[in-house]
Amino acid sequence: MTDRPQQNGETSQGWFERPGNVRKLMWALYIGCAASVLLEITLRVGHVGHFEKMTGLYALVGLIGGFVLVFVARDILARLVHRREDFYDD
Amino acid sequence: MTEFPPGLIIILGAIPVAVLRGPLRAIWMLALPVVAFAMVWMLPDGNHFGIIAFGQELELLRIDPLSRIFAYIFLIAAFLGIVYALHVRAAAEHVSGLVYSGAAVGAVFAGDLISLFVFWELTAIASVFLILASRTHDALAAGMRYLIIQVGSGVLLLAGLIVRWHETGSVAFGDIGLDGPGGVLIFFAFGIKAAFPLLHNWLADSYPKATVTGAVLLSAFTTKLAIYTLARGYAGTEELIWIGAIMAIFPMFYAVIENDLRKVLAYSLNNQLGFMVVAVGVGTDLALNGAAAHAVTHIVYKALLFMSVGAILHRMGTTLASNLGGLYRTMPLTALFGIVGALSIAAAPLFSGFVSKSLILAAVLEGEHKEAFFALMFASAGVLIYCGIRVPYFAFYGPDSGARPKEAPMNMLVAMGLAAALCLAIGVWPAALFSVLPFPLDYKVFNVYAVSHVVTQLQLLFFSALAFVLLHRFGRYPLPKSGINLDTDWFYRRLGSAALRSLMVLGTAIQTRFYDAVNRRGQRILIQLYRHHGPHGVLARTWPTGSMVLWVALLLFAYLFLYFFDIF
Repeated sequence: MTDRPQQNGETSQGWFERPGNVRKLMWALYIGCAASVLLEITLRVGHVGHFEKMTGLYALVGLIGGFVLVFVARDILARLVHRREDFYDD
Repeated sequence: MTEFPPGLIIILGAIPVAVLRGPLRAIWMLALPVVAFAMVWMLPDGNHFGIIAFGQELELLRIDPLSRIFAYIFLIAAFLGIVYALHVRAAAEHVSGLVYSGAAVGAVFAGDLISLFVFWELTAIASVFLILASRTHDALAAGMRYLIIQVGSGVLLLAGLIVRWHETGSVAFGDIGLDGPGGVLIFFAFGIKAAFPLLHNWLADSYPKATVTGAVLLSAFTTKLAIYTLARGYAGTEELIWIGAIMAIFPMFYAVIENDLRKVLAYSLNNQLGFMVVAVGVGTDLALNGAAAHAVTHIVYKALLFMSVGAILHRMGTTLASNLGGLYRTMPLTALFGIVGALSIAAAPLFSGFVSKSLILAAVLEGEHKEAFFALMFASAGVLIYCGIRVPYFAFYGPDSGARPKEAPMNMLVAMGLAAALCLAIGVWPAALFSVLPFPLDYKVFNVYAVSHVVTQLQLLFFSALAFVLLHRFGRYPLPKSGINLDTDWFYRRLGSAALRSLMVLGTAIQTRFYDAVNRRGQRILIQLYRHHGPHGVLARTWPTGSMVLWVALLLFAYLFLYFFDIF
């Protein structure tokens, strides 16, 4: 990895680097996840039949899709195609 | 005056830009798309400008709802691109940018394949200067590869139109379909520009090497022009559903492991084109509305993303994620605009992408294309992870790089502000966009903000964000790593050049052998000649006069003999 330039020896902490804020954001996300599923259940009572109406389908695709995307990219594709920067310069 | 092709106005208007300087040049350039926009706005539907060439009537100004919406958004993109580039002094970049924009608008209004071909090639030739203007060795090489591929697409279009002209006797540009060989050739010509899978690599290869301002224009025109032509010529072609579904998915894997943020944006551009291609393949009124709407929203948010990452390049000289991080401290507005672009591409409610993606997903569901629907859902989840969160996170937040660049120049901020405002305006008030869609859509009946739809989309976004968070927390999300990722360019940059090299070695060997053989044979002839005619050869001896007289007598005798017996 390329060296990160450090200026003035500054060690300022950004919003995202403060653990308290990150924790708050994570809780907001967990609550959002739960609320979206609960709301769907409340709204969709009695909606059956069509595949798209399956409760939690979007949650499932979002979560599993995310894992699949990253695992395939990182553990399969990167191993196959990642090369050093000057690969084509030889 | 108003019945003159607006694309040509911009192309001709680019000429004075080469000599104008200062505020006058800025005003002139900004006026061009505004005037063109006003002209399109005022003109009713119909053919307004025909010329006779090649024994055919060529239509240069065919206005109908489909061409109108693409022209509007192209002109808006040209305006935003000009504002963003106002600080650039080099006239060449402005001229090529304007010619490129004008050619794209011209192509949209082309009512026949011949004028489409002319503008098609002009977009290729004008746009390459936006890549070459980076003036690096890499940009030169990528620009040449880009030009070869783009002109190749034009050659295919030309071949297709000639075959079709021969088949049907007409060069009109309407529904084409895949029935005849001409239609297939034109399909691949459009497919190259639309970056179909395996024909896509020019996009991720060249756009990241364009200039800061050039990439913004490039992201808007070429590929969306291809979407327009596909919608015009191949609506309802089922193959496009599969092609689009693959397009929506496979570039995401590359984007996840890519270090160069502009390349990530190029891959995400390719992935978003997949949505539009699927919609064109579905081909219903709702689907084509979705394709056109998504082209509109996509042009704006993608330009915005290229602008915000371009501002980083302008200030930092790099867009490698491994060298960035923590820039929001000194570039807060750029970060804010970047986040608006990211939320739009991720289709968060109240942002533009949500509106247009909803139309496409509804059309795919309506047509019962289950596989394509899941592909697009997966792509929607993925785009949040690899672009919506990743780009702003690694550029503006994430581990602090220690760099404290200045905020972007004012003109860049204004362009980003306008684009961000447009993203929000379309998201909050989709009725305006719906009113210019190619087919009538009752937005009161088709409510993109139906509660159940909003909830399910939010669910998709929340849970894919959760996937990102969990992967990041457990160290499974790939950190930016320097290096490159091989794509199909490997075939021509490595395999192709290796094959060419071996061919040259083989050719040289054959040539050497041939010359050796010729040499040996020639030498043998020379030796023989020398033996007989050389200073010591039999034929080079000095003969006595008597033998000469004898030979002359013999010849005379032979002549008399032949004459006497009347042989001649």
